[in-house]
Amino acid sequence: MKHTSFFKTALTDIAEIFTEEIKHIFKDSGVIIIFFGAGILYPILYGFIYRNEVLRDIPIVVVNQSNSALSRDLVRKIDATPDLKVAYKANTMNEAKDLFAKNEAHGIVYIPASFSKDLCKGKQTHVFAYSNIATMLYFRGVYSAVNFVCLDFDEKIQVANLEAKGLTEQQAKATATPILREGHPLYNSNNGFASFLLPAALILIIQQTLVIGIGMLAGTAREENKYHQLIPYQRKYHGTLRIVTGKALAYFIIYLFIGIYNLVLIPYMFQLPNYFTIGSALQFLVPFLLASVFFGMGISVFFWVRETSLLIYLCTSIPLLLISGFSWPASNIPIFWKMISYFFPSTFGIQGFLKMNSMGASISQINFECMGLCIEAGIYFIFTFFVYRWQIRQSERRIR
Amino acid sequence: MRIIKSPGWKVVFMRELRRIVSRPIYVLMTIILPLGFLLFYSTFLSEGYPEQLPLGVIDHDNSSLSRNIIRQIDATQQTRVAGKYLHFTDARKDMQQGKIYAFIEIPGNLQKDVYSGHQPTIHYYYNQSFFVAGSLLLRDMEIMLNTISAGVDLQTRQLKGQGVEESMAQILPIVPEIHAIGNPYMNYSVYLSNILLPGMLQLMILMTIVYCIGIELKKSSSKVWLKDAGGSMFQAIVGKLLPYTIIFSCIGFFYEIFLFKFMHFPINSSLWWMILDTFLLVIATEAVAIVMIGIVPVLRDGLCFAGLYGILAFSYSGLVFPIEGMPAILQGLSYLFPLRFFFKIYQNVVLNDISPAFSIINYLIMLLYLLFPIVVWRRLHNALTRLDYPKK
Repeated sequence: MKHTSFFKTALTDIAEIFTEEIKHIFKDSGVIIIFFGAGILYPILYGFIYRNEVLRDIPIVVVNQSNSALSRDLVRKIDATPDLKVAYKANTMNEAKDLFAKNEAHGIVYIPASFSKDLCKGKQTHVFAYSNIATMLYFRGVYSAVNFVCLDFDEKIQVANLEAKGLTEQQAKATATPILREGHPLYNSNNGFASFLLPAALILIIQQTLVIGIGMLAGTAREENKYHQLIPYQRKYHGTLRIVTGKALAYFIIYLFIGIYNLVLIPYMFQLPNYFTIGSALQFLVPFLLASVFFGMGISVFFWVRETSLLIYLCTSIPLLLISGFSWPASNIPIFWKMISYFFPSTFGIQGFLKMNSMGASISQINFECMGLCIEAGIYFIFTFFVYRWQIRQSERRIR
Repeated sequence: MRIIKSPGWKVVFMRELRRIVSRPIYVLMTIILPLGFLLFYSTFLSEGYPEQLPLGVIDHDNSSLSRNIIRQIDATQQTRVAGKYLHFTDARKDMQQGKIYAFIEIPGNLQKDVYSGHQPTIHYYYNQSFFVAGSLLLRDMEIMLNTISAGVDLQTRQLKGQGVEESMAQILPIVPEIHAIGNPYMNYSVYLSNILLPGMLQLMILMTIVYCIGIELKKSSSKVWLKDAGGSMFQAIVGKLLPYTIIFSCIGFFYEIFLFKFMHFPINSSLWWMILDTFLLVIATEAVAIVMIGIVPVLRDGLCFAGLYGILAFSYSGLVFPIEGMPAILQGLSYLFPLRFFFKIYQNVVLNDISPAFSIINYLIMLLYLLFPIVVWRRLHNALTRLDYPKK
């Protein structure tokens, strides 16, 4: 019978600490801004900023010095691509550079005077295109459109020449393009920018707001009690586990809602890739949240003042995004930074979320990420436990 | 900043220096973290251009031609064949797990069809959820498969006795030559570091300035601060911000010198233009920070505000997604971010080598930020003297 009463007191203790922590959270306007303001409004803001998934009709300027029927046709075809729009026609390169300088055109296409003459003589000719790589998406648009149109022309010219030599259409085509090619984007098939960036940002928002919020609560706790201890002296040492569990439960439950909102509702609202159902989202969210909660609680010991978590930890956001391998390919991350990246739940979180929600992988296919999160959750739980126990012992000593 | 005769700002300046050395947080924020970020970005992106990206192959033909194609693909700088598969499903599963970013499916009878003039099709699949890797591989595969097809064409023509030059003029009559201005090697480090580092700098400036003013409110020491300045709010602000202006400018200049002189990033104008741009970013961001703490004169709320704004600035710099591509209402917000105009000046003056006269409007906007604090001047002054905001 003694057994039951032990569990009973443990559960009531945990419930008590849990309610206490929930009260702390809702009393603290700073934490509310971070948890609910940033955790809920930031995704919406980002969703709207990147609402136009792809750039269409990027304005460019064309300098057509050949001015032949063929070159005009080429310009028309470039204009007809979804990526580019021939917004200006300039007579000289200097005029074109001017428009480029004023940011009115984001690319220049230059067709030399010898263009048609060369082609008539059976000589190779060139079409030049320039764009600014400072905005990668503009360069991409100019590159793919100009390349596509030129290669298309190449094939047509070659086929026409071969037909003139007496080949049938089919023979000419088979000679010009002996092997056809066809590309298929498998995931994020409309090349959407939001569909690429937002999933990573959402995971990072969950982790960063959680860690900063927990850090603020820890900082406040220290500022408000006399001895600047993380956990004020209340009960005996065997309560450490109860304190850790009770607090973690409070963060976990709040973030279960914020997590579902970010990972299921937001992708659905902004029509991003969304393979997740509530069920599969939970399979992923539970290990990710546990890892993030204990990571946050563990490092909160370093945040002596309530502002420190915000001041220092916020700055890691952009580097954390980069080392997760969602943009710069994970296969090419230097080994040192790869090792560092495994300390953060966001690395496994972003990879796992992308694979499950954007590419439809099942939970068993993201074994590696899941294991990573579970190991992190375990290690950070143990770390938190000992940090808390050390803090509790210290406050006990002060009181004696 | 103008130097004023009366020594009020000097007293505050000396007081601030003492404060900076008294607590490690200031050294961390102004020197250690900014240098840490420099180390991070320069080593993280040291490869410059991602090479040897993993891709998969499904070879249904297994002929000398198909094996030759696979060898050619593997031999390029950009890609490596990381997996060979028997079925589409297996390749797709590995793509879902991120082991490969693309794969190529070579149809059965490829060789037979090619030489009998049946134009077989090679299908390729790429993953745009990993945007950078997917886009690079898309381009690489387009080029490779085009080259392979043209190679067969060339072979046929040579067998018929045509010379290489003559054949090439037939196969590729129009050569597209596409150049990236200012970054001919498509170096990602050049592309990213030039804005991410100043972006980190503006974030650190925002947080530090909001902190150094907000802490006076939190600790109720703002009256002493104002008294030291001889009661002049202007002198109080100038004296307080001067040490940070000096430190952050030096850090910023160090960034630029490191990137352009040590890493040899392409620069088409004098380095002084970059130094000027950096200095303008430092003072404009400081002005914005004053506005932030002026609007919410509570340390923790001000920091939240500044942090959320500072992170948003990365999006609004227009580096990854151009402002023109955003919804019209949100485009207007870009005027609130000095980083946006820093980037424009860098792009025009330094990268594209366009006369600074074209950027005069951008320089003016940068200077206009300095007038921004007027909006909150009274409010901040009241908060400093009355200390009537919550301190927690």
